[in-house]
Amino acid sequence: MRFSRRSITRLLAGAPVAAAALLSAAGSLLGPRPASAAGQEPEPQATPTEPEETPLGRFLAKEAPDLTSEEKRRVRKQVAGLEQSLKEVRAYVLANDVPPADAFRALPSGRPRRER
Amino acid sequence: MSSDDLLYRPIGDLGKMLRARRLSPVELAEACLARIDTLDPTYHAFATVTRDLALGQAREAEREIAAGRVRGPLHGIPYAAKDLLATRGIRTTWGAKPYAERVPADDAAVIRKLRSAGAILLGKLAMIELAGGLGYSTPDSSLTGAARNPWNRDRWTCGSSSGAGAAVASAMTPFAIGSETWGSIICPSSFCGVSGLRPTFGRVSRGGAMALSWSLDKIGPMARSASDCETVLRAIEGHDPADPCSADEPPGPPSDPRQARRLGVGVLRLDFTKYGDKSVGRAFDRAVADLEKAGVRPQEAKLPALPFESATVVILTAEAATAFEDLERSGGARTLVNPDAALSFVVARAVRGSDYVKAQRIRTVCRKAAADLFAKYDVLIFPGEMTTAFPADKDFSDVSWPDAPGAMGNLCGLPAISVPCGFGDDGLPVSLTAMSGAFEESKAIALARFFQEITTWHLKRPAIAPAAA
Repeated sequence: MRFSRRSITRLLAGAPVAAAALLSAAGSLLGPRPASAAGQEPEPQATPTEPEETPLGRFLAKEAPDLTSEEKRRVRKQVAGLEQSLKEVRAYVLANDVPPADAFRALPSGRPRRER
Repeated sequence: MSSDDLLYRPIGDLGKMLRARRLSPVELAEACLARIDTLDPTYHAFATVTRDLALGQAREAEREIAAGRVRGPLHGIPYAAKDLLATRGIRTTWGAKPYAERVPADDAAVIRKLRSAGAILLGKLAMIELAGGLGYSTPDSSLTGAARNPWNRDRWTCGSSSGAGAAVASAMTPFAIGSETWGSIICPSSFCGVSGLRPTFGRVSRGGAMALSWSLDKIGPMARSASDCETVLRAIEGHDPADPCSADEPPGPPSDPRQARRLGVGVLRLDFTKYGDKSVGRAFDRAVADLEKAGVRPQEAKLPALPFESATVVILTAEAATAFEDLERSGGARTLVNPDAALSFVVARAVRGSDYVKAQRIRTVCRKAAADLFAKYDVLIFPGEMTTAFPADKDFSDVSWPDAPGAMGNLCGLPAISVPCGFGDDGLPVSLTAMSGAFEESKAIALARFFQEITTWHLKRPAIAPAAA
């Protein structure tokens, strides 16, 4: 990659997508935020300790209970960027019959096949 | 002819001299090795120099050419490979401390193909650790430190094929093999003023290459010209059952620059008002005007309004976290230069299984939209990057770096070639990228070759700085 995922994801916070509309479309690890204009989302403020009752707090308690408060602050910053992408992906409407691009294929055994 | 004049020659010229026996493969390899000795302490392009191997291969090439057994256009031509391609018996570090002493037992498929073609391996090229797979935010996130840009050694080369950009731009090697997951060939080519080709996903085998993202990784050449890139592509492409994603497609036809005037060329105008260096936009606009004056008829084009970047981020985050999970278990991620590398595993857990599948479903829509777009245009052109090279000590963790065309191209597996098209106000290179439909490299290369026939940007050389005392 030419740059860090954090850079990629952080740039999306400023991308001209309907971020405000997307915010309410799916659950957020960062919890609810006040609505604001698209592209002008405030940077989530780091907290010294993450209350366990918040979605991110529960996430950190489950996934990384041993992190220091500084490490949790850095995770929170990165998750904030990633969430912009997740929200856009989750909010995107697809028809039922659109398959994943990376479709599973069965693997033949390699044994000679009999003629029918 | 001076050493500089020789080493800045394109592959085609060097090949003719070698086959006519006006130049010895050993002399050429020795000239490259001498230049590496002189310049690499300044530019940090190489992770490992394979001097003995190179001279041995060069002597073999010399014997074969003398005996009239010419293997092809790369016979006797030196090259270097990004240090994520396995090389038998040679340290292959992936740019990362946990793998600093790893020595593979086999060559990667690309290395084998180039050996069969008679190319001479000069060494392994510096790269960003794990090709940026666990994130990075400073140019020195590499086992070998920050690669320096030959156009200005206080600037970076971009990543993750950082050594490849420095080595080709400074003529330490006629060509290099890089890789791209998202931007890692196009960006170093752009920052370093060289030509770089990202092939269609599956065109070049990844057998024996480090995996960062199975559905996004591609391997491709960086060289002096679009024509040189095509020559290398022809040597390394082809189906390989060892790579499950390898495409069973026939090689494309040779590119024909005379075709350029008949191509449907779409121009993507990027918005430099919110991000980027306006002088980059002006250089690109002049390049488009040069194409028009030469008879190409570009039309204004737009990308479909689809979440290319977000889908790519989600897929990449999930795939990279599982690609390097051994470093989470071993604690090796904590030995990387990037202090946040170990935390990236925690961050990746914010991606649910359903998010990954959804992103892959969106990819299906994007792939169809891209195919429809390339039914309308043969080639899309746009600025390779929106800035010139960053300072080598820059922390870009808070830098916005929009790249919708790059995201579309990588998400949809499309080929693209980046060629120099001028300079920014700071005197650093600017590039034009030409992207075409899947397995249609020939069209993008044809336009790039045509551009290089009507301009001389690719012939410009940096004023190489002497080695630091």
